[in-house]
Amino acid sequence: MGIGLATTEARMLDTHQTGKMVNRNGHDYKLPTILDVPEQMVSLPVELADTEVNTTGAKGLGEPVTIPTAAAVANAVYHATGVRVTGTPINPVQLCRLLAGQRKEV
Amino acid sequence: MLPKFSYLRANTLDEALRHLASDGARVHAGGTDLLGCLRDRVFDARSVISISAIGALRGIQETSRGGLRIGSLTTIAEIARDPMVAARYRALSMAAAEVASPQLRNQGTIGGNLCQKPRCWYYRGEFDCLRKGGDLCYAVEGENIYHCILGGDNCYIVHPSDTAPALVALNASVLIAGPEGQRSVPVEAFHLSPADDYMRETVLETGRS
Repeated sequence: MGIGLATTEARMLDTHQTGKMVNRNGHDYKLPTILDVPEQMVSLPVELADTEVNTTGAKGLGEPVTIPTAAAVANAVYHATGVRVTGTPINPVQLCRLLAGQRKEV
Repeated sequence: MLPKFSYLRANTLDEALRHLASDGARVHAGGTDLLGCLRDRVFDARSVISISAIGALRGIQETSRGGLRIGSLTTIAEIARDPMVAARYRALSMAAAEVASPQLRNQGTIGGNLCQKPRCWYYRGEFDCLRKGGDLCYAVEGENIYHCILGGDNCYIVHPSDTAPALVALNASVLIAGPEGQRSVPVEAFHLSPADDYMRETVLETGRS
């Protein structure tokens, strides 16, 4: 979910003609699959008990993890290219535009 | 939902040709594109003729002139992993390996890959576009980031075949069977641009009863 938001997923609307979504299918609305992630990927939950929210100390590990993912990918792209990306999806088209307008900061 | 159609499984090429000559008949090989198009109502079918039982259309053989003859029912995965294709026609081997996803490469055929319908999201979506018999190409004023720059006229599709550019570069030809016999057409001349005919992607013509 987080990787999709960061790199591939975006609703495309036929804004100026019909207002309909043009990519409402799995071909044009790209969801990352198992082929888009490394073979080995280790998730490390930060095990700090939250005793204020509930009595068990449990914390959600579903949607909350999508919040920082795109920002983390954007930071990695900045580290690799020197370009600050502030919008998603971070894809080759957007990067080409940004790289053309910006040189790497020294 | 799929529309209602009659389904026939042809055992020989002649049988398939006879059935395909009727109005509203569609040919079914791997089915990866056909079933999606029917379900999304991109086009209709009165009958679907399966050719997958015709063994003569399957497999890769050496020709007497030193080339390869690839049956139209050969799957993309079979081409991608074939050692003869890899040794002699590396571009085709690489192109085949790039097609879609593993499931689609296992199911999709080279014939279907060359004959697939455009992936334009207006054509595939709920838009009554020119190519579907409407009176407007929505890509002209709409979201056209993946549409063609050259060769458009009143429709701006890009043919989605990954293997076609390799086959064109390798001077491949397609052998086409029809009710009046067979003919050979270079792959370069097999596809039509929208300027040639915005209702067809290839020189193949629909059947008429």
